[in-house]
Order: sequence, then structure tokens, then C-alpha cells
Amino acid sequence: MRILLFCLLAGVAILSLAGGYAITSRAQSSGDHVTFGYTQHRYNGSRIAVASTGRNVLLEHLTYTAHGGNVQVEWYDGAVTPLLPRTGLYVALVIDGRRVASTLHGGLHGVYETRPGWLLWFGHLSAGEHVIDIRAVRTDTGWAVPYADPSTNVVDNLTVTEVHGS
Amino acid sequence: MTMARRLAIVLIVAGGILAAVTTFRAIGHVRQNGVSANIFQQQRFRTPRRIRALVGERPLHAIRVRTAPGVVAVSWYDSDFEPTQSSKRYFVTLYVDGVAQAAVAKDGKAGKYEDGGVLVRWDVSVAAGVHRFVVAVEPKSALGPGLPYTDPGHVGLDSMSVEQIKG
Repeated sequence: MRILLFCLLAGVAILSLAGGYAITSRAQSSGDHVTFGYTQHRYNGSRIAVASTGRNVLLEHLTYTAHGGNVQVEWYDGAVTPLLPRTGLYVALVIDGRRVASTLHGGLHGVYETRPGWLLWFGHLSAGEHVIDIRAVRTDTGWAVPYADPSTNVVDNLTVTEVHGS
Repeated sequence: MTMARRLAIVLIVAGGILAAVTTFRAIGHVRQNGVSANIFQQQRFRTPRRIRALVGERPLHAIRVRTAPGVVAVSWYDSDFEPTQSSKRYFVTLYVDGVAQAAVAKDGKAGKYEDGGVLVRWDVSVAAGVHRFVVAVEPKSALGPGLPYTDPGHVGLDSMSVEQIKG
């Protein structure tokens, strides 16, 4: 019996360490509500982000009052652009001062490599006020977030969608 | 049972629990009365995951959920699709009940410095009942791409959601 238990626990541990499975937990409720919060900006000139060790750049900031539900946080930028060759940009989602997720953009040539950027995170927020920031935490050689011309309105926004009980 | 064996078991179990907690963050919400479904499946990475490490046809994500009749919004997101081969194109496809519904392509021309987040979204009409939503990447190769690539100190994500909100 002990050997069987040992093998079972060891198997679970090995699978977990190998990243072999995911667990989806489900909660049930009635009377669901959906709450939405956002901040949104339009640019007709490039916003240049240069981050270095110990210094990052605030891209979006939102104070959101959660209801204790599950949230989807999404950052979107319409034109993430490297300014020099062989560079990388890390954009991080920081909630209440804690870095919970990052997305990486690369640039080989530094020209004609503009693309939209996303960061999508799912999680739970306790009821109450939370500070949600999007920050460029590593830019290597500098990036435009977003790149924009005077004749354009390029977007950068942060949205929070929460499903919660009444 | 010797003390050493007990200690080994405790360490293995603790390591497994720690790895599960730090790697996977799966949360979800289902209203079983058929009004809404809201399932998230999210994996967190502190080191790169290479697609070549996936076994056989195992998908990136698979979610089974009971839905009401109507439109379901499905999305898949990865914080950094990192091509590692030159002149290579990958497709990530969303399947609903085994039928390919939507795909997104990611190219690698040089095979380096071409990183970027990838997002697929698709709305699909479904009948009432249990449905299976799957995300898979093709082709797999010896020099598998990073999905996601991430550096120490950063938290990479790979997630899938199935949402149905009505009424």
C-alpha cells in the first residue's frame, strides 16, 4: 500500500514538474454580473519607450474596483515598433506592484517590423481597489509604443472584464 | 519506512505541488443552468517551452464545457511565439468538436529576433450540450519554436478561454 501511494505521489510530482497537465477548477454561482473597466489613448505621434535596469516606462494605468470575481485583463497597442536592429521589448502587466505576466516583442532589422501588440491575462481579483499598470520593463535599444504619424490615430488601451456574483 | 524514504516522499510531493502552483493557473466559472459559460485555462512559464517537447498530437489546450445554444467566444493567447527556424511558417488552429474553425499564422524569415505575442479569437454558434474546444500548432519540428519564449525574471503566458454570456 505504501509503495502504491509512493508511486502515485511520485507520478503526480513528475507530471507536474514536466508540465504534463493542467487543471481547470470550476466554481458555480447564480446571478452573474459582468463589469468592464478600461483606459484608452490615441496617438498621432510616436511614444518612445526606453527602459533600463531599475527604470521602467508606464504605458497604461488603471485603478479598478473589483467585486471578487474572475477577470480578464487585456492590453492592446496598435503599432509596436523597434527602433534599432537586434532588439527586444518586454511589456509587463503589474497588479498592485506585482509583475504577473510579460509579453516579448523582437526586432531583427529595426525597420518595417511594426505590428500590433497584446497581453492577455486571466486571474482572480479580491474585492476592492486594485492598481493595474502596463509597463515596458526592458526595451534594449528603445521602441515606439506605439509608432504613429500626425495623420493617424493609433490606439493603446487596457481593459478589464470581470465576471462576478451579484 | 525509513526516515530517509519519508523525507524523500515529502520532498517529491512538495516539489510537485510547488511546480503545479507556479506553472499552471487555471481558473473558471460555469453556470450549469445554461445561461453562461466562462472557462479560462492559463499556463505560466518562467523558462521557454519548445513545441518539439510536446508528445505526438497533444494539443496546446483542450477544454470540455457544457454550453447553452448560441454564440461562444473562443480565444487563445501566447505571450511570445518565437520562431527558431528560417523560412518557416506555423499555424495555430482552433477546433470545436473536432472541426477546424479558425487559424492564425506566424512566420519566421530569419529564425531569430522575430518574437511576438499571438492572439486568435473566434465566435462560433453551438447547440446546447457538451462541446470540446482545442488549440493545436502545426507543424512540429526538431527545432521547435518557443511557445512561449521567456527570460528569467519574466512570466510568460499561454492561455485559452471559452466564454458564453447571454441574457
